[in-house]
Amino acid sequence: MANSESEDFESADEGIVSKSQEGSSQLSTSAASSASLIGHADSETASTASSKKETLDQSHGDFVPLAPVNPESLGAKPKMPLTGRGKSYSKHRSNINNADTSDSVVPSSNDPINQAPSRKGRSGSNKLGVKISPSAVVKSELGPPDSNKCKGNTDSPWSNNLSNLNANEENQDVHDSFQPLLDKLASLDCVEASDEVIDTTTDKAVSNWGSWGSWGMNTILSGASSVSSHVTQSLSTMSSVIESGLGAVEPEEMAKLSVEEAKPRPPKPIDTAQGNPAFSDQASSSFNVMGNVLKFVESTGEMIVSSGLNTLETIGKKTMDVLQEGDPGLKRKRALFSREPDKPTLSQILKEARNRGELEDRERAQAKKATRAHFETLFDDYKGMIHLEALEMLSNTCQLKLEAKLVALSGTPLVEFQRKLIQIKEKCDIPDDDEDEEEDRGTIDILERDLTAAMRGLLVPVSHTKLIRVSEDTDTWLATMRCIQDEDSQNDNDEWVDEEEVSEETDPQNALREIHQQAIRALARFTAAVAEHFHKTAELLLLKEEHDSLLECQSVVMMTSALCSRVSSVAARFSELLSASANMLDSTQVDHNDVNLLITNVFLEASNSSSYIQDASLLLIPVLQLGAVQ
Amino acid sequence: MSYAYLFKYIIIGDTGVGKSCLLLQFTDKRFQPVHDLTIGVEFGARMITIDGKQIKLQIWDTAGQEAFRSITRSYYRGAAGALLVYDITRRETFNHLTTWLEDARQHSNSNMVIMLIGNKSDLETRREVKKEEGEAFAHEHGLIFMETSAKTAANVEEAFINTAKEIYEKIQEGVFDINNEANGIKIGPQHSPTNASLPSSGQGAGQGGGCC
Repeated sequence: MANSESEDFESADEGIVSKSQEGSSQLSTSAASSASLIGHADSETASTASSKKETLDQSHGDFVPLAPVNPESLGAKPKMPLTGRGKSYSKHRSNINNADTSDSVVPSSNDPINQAPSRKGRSGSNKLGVKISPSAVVKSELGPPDSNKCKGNTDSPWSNNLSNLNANEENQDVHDSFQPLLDKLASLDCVEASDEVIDTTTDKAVSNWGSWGSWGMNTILSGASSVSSHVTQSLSTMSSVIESGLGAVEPEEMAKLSVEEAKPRPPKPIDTAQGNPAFSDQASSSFNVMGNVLKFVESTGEMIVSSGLNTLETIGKKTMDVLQEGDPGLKRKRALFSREPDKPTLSQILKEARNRGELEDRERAQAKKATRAHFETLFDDYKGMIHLEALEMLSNTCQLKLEAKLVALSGTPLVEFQRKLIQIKEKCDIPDDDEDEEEDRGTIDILERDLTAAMRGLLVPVSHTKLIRVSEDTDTWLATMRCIQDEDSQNDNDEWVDEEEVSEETDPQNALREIHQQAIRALARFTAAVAEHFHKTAELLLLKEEHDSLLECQSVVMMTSALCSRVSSVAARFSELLSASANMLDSTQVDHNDVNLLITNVFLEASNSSSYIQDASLLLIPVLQLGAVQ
Repeated sequence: MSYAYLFKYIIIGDTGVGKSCLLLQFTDKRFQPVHDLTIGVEFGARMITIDGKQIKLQIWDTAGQEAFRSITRSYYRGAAGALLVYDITRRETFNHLTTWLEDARQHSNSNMVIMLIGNKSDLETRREVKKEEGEAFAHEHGLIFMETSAKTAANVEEAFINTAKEIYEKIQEGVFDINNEANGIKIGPQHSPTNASLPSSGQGAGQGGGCC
């Protein structure tokens, strides 16, 4: 990939260098060596568009030798009549001159920018061969009056048309169509022959068109048409010409033109050289099809296409120049694109990244799986930890306040104060004699009853709905699981249902893990709700104005034991579910040690949960004490 | 979700200035026009990324009511950042700023980054406190200042994140001792728990081991 790209770069790079060569190779068929000079001049002008003035001077300098060349290539005839013209015609003379050169001097077509018009010219010259010389004479006669006319009317289409006719039609046609005009114009000025004047003409033309630089120069050299002078003098004129012109040009013609334009661009000189004869045939044949009226339209189209391509070409060359600035031959840039052998390839990097990503995903999934059954993490996620932390801060503040009060006291009040504190602490001791209560204390009904009673005793507006809701969720889940189990055991006899169920439980171990996870989650969620409940209770106890401390203590104890009972009840039910599920499975399918471990873990986390709850209730003691001594 | 640091924030300010709404907008990206009165403190948490590091913001949204003042003071301790909020449509909430600031400075560590927030910037027509006044107050007391709207979410993210950036810079400068949790900064767990063990809490759990 990279190699071929760099090769492309190379070839493109060489393409520009070879353009002048290409031009000269084309020319060698029809024109003299001076043509290659012009070709050079053109490519230079286009490439150094930034320094327009210079280029103009340069191309002008190159143009000077052109004058003597023309007669050489065309049998020395056409130039002679042109000489000795007044300077007043210079501008339009140059157009005529262009027409001449397009006929006679193909060299200008070196520059790929102006291929279309110049080709026309060339094709004309090729085809007409010797005939051109008379036509050139006609033109030379035609020239001055025409330019006069143009000067007066600024009727560029006219002159354009004329020049095209001159270039491509039979002499007779030209004579016929323009005889009256020619006669009339011929009387206006005389035709003088002098090489000097040609120079001045060119000079003048260059200075006139100087503002648009290389493009104008190319036009002069190619001599496509004189319409350019007007078209380019104002953009608005141009756009209008484009509109009218393009509208009339046949799409086929346009397409052909652009194809022809594009041809010399690929940097293979052989192609263009080969393409030339066929191309000129095409061009001439299509030209014949066109009527007189269409000629103007066609030339305008050519102009537009060529000027557009000119611009593109200039941009392209400019880009290459910028690219090559300080980096001749694009060596450094090519090195940038080429691959270093020790560097890893993109595909390798991508492969490694994918592997790494997969590994990370696996690890993350494992960690997630572990987290799902991790009590502390879940407890934290359910905001249990932070509520406990806040409760602890509150408790510490109360403790500090109590100590401050204690320090301020002495004597009997101090004893009385201490007695109160101890009394409350004792009242808050949670009896751990749950053995006698055989009734199922863990049900939601009992829990709700106890909680309601406790809150009534505490006289704080803390709602226990969250605790109840969490408990209900757990019960619902357990009930659902039990239902499924019952169905399973019932369906053991019905083989067809059994098979269906088996496919669902492909991994019995996973089903057990699922129950275990659910158990831990339920415990963590419940404990977190308890932590929040205790925290809110503490906050509101601190806001309370009057306290019945003993009742409060009783209520806290009642609440704590109710909540702890609930926790053990939940743990027990999950354990039952786990063992029941394990029993339903074959001993071959499940390792009973694993099941026991799961069950143990559920009980372990349940005791963990109870510890949190009891800790929370202990944190309430300073709060209650502070209430008691206020 | 593992994190590099955990920053504790507190949001303080008069009741009804929109503290809880700011938190809700930041954590849940939604706005609730009618909000229950906060009892004591509520919590919110969100992960943010600063300098390529995951930082968990643990936000303590305190009750603004005067009655809870003594309680909420207990929660200031150990906060790394504080958002001191007033309502631009109620002059008195701006006037109370000094008291809040004194409270915050007294009950928290001196390095705590405090961001002054003029909330409800969407209610431009009812504005009573000019932005310049807020800026001046912030400048005078060395606070960062921002006007926000919990309703339109304007500047809400910025307020929380800029505070975190300031804290993070202080950590980089060594102003905060990250090993002292009283500064409100915790270093995240180095390793997330793996399935190799089910670590049990130290509290009350006599039996060791685990399963799976």
